[in-house]
Amino acid sequence: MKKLFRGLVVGLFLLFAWPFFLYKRYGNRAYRPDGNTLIVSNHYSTLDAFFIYLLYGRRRIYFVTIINVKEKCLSRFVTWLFDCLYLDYEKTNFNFFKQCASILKEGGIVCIYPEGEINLLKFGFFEFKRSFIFIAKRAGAKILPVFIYPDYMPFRRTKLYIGDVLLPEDYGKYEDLGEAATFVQSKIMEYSLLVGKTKPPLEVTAMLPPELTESMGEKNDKKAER
Amino acid sequence: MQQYTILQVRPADASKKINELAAQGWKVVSSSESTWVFSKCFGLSNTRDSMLNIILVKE
Repeated sequence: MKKLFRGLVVGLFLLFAWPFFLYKRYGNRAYRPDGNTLIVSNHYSTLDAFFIYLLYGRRRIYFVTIINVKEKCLSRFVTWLFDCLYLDYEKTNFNFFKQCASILKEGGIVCIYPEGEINLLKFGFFEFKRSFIFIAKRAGAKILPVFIYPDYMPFRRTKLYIGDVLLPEDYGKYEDLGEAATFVQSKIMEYSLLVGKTKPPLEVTAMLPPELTESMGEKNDKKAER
Repeated sequence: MQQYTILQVRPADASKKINELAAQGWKVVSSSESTWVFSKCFGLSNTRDSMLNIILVKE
């Protein structure tokens, strides 16, 4: 019933706002998550989760979000609609970790943004928190790294780079959770270099070496097409 | 071809993170410090924090 209602709401929303939600996939385009998968992505926009839903919404995806979203009616409704798991920064979150691990063990898909905050620069990365590795190791889940570069203008395509799936033995070779998290982050950072047109904002450009503006610009566009 | 990105990291965690990224093939080009206002999901919660902006290069 909820799935039907969600489909109806998303359908109505897209009917009026579709020019804002066009996207282009790069990388591992043929891949479809088959369960026990943790989708890990960067976080440039509040709509990142919606793009993941558009990408793989045929399967049930649980999105990790902070509990503060329950404070307002609209965000509470949206998170209810999209099967969110709530994380509380001020508590130990034992139940949250248990819940994520059990969903993954039962063949579910969980989407998490390990930076924990939205990067308003729309360029670069915050450090990835290590808890997603803890969840993945506990559930023996695969990790699907995805880089999202949103475009807020209508008729412009958001870029989604779908990376290669990381099996438990790939990230499991790092015993330290921090090192494993950096390994996954490093993969997503590399994908960001492949989609092109992810230009640094002006205030950052000012302190970059002169060759940066050339290498980060539209030259990368051709490389992105596979 | 050299390609660059930026990592924003809290000063306390910087050296460990840089070492880990160096093991993955990333090199530090330069860094600067700034204050960030963090907007949590849907802009419901804002916090300020000091951050190092580290420019990294991958060849």
